[in-house]
Amino acid sequence: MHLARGVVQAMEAAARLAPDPVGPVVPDPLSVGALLTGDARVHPDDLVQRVASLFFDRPELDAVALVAEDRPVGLLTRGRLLLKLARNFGHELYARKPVTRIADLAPLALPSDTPLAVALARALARPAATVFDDVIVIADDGRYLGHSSFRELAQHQGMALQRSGLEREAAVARARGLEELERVRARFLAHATHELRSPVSAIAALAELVRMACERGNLDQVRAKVPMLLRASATLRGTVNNILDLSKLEAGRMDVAVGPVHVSTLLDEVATLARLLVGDKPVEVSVDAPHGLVVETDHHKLRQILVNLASNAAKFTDRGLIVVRAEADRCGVRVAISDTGCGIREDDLPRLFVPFGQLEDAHTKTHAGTGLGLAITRSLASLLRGRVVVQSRRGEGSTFTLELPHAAVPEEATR
Amino acid sequence: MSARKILIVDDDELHLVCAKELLEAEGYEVIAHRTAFGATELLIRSRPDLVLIDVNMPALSGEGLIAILRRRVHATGVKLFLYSSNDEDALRSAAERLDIDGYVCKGDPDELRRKVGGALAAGRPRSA
Repeated sequence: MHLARGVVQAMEAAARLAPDPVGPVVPDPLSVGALLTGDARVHPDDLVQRVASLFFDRPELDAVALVAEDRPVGLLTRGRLLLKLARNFGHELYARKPVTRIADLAPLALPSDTPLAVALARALARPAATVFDDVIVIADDGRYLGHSSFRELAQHQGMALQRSGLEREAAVARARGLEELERVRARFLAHATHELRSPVSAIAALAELVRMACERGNLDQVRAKVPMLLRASATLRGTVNNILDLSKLEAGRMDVAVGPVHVSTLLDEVATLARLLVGDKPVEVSVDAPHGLVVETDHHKLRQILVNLASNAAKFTDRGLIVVRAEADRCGVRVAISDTGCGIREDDLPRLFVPFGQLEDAHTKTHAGTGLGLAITRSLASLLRGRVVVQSRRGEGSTFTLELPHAAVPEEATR
Repeated sequence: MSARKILIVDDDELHLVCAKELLEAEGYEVIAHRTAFGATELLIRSRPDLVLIDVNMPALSGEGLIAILRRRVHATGVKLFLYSSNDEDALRSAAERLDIDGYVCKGDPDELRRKVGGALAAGRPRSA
């Protein structure tokens, strides 16, 4: 409150001091042209005597410009004039007189705890001739502590205003970030709840139908329901595992066990799984990996990443090819899983790795899955000091590439 | 008196089959429909007494479908219920917001029988 009031006062005082804009052109209020405080001019040939009397006649005059043919060629401030004259002219007059004869005997003196904005406002409220003079600072008991230049006060006030603006911006940004986080959390919870409850609901309904069939002694109906019960249980188990995995990953509680992993063997295994998942669809799955390529990483986690990516490829590819390819160079190992599937719209790419991103847009929720697979894949990759990148074109297919260092030894594993 | 007719709209086949069988065992005639599309036509053609509508469906959500169905339903007196695995609080407030007859949480066969039975008991005209 204090600060705001002081700022307003200071600005009002400054407005009182500022002269009307010079000339017919109204300058931009943010440019120096809007901050003119005078337009006094003398000719370079004018005598000092005449200029000095000009200053003495006009106490509000701070400075005059030396102007020849409308071009400024020099500047003479009141301070400089007085300094120059003091040695000769002034010396004659005052040298043997007390200093009180030439000093301001009613200077602005402020207690040391005066807020900056108030001090500045008080300083600006002084008469024009002394408005830029130093401000005397006194203690509570009136003792002299020192003085502060007007320039110093103004500079600090400017910085304080800038700082408070920045601080407010930072606070607003922080609040927005928290709101966004809360929104994401609530959305995650709503999705997780639904994805967990849905198979539970199915299991409960199926169990009730089985009970009814048993009561009627209809074994055929019991037999028909049991596979559905098992499928719903498997879905539930998968969702629970995924949610727990993601929670563990995000809480940094996932253990990493590093050891040598034979990449080509693992890729063969992943390809076999992809072939199983492809089923009857006309999709060929091939592996292209150098023999003997070994990477130091967590076998189980790497397998989980590649299985996730290969399952997605199998799920979204109806015909064509899935290629699992590995290569190594000085930087590390890259495993790419390319498919000729439906591809991903460019608009959907940013939320691809967001938990339940698939559910966000009902149009894309045409395939089974919890929508946690890629979120987990990305978190697992960074746990292994790597990353997953995606290239895709709607209608043409996708390539997900896992980039890993040769020795994916995370900090936790070295402890 | 012919059996009361129920239309269920749900994209999840498993839930659809379960609800259909549970309600058929109660003696209702049940029509199952797997997408929000075509639900309006089916409603007009089959003239059900009650519609159970899943909330999370691709392309057109249950709430979107209800917004479309509502105008026709007011004239015919068909009862509309949300039917979902979503949180009960969310379902209750959605049903209130949409000003429909109620909601049924998936996963509780007794609740399904009770609420559907209550709504269709006497075929009384729709009231608040």
